Amino acid sequence: MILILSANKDFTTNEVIKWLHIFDKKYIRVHEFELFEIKVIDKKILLESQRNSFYIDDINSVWFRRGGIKFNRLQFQNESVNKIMDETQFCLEDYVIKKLESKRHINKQSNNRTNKLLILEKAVAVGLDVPTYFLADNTDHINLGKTITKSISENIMVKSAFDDFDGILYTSIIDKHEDEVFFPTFFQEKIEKEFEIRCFYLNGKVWSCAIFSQNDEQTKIDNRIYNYGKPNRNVRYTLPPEIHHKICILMTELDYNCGSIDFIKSIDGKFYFLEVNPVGQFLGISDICNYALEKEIADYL
Amino acid sequence: MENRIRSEEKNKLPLNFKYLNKLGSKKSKELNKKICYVKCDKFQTDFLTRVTPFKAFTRML
Repeated sequence: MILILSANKDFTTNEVIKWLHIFDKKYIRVHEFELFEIKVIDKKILLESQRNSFYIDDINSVWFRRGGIKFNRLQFQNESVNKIMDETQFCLEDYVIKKLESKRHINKQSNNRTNKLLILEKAVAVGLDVPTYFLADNTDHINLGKTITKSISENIMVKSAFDDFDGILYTSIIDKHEDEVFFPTFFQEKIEKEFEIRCFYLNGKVWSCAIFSQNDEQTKIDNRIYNYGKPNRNVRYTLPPEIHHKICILMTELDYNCGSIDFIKSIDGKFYFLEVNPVGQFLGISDICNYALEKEIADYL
Repeated sequence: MENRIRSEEKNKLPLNFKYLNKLGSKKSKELNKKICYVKCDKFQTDFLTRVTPFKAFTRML
């Protein structure tokens, strides 16, 4: 039995499930708001929520896509008892999650938070080229027009940021100095690019797509500001073996066996690493490049 | 249209909030509301959407 930890609304999960049906593989899909109770029946651990009920011994593989297993933790009236029981419940919950992660899996719930700053440090350590970056609370050392800023958080959506619109924190070029200090912000050298590369990594295999975003004013700084009228050209791409090798080392160091990775190929021929997202979207490059990555995931599980 | 987040917040924000982009449009919001989801036991979801093929069928022949 396959355990899929995902979101009720996640479209990507549906696409993988289509292939699980074709392969005739059985699965359980857990949604993001499900709360589980840990029970023991005949010495076997049973997880039970309003939607699902399964023994952890019956699970053969786990795909952590979104959300994760959450537990209904009980509260106790006596403060001292509550403290002991809180720790007891944590031990059980931690055991269940670690047991599930010890099975064949794609990514882990316990390792689902990315830290872009630490990832960049590790990328440098494995020998990947990374555009010079720094944190600052002022623009004193900013090279105007040649420095970008972007969010270090995974979530970049800002609800109700404008009267009629939500907002989104894309990558932006710094074009003027600020008089006042601000909250510590991530700055990075802007690389003149030949094209961008979006990769999908799964257990040592890498599938890549070159995105020619540099010729369009709308997409040249951040290709996610899509030009629907005249979309960027996207083609299959094969990374040089040494970059592929360094990606594998980096992903092993980060303890991710799956993820989406972004690079820039600069006009001077270097491959600059930008970031890794273990739960990133991959259906785009899968469709455009005919990689059938959803089939690869279903096949692995 | 100025984003209102920076003026509403008492604490300082990172500089990238100054460059906040608008997401979507009124029209796309209205379109999103019209997306029909169906509850589907087979896919174990309450949000299965009917999708059109990404590529035209003639391109795949």
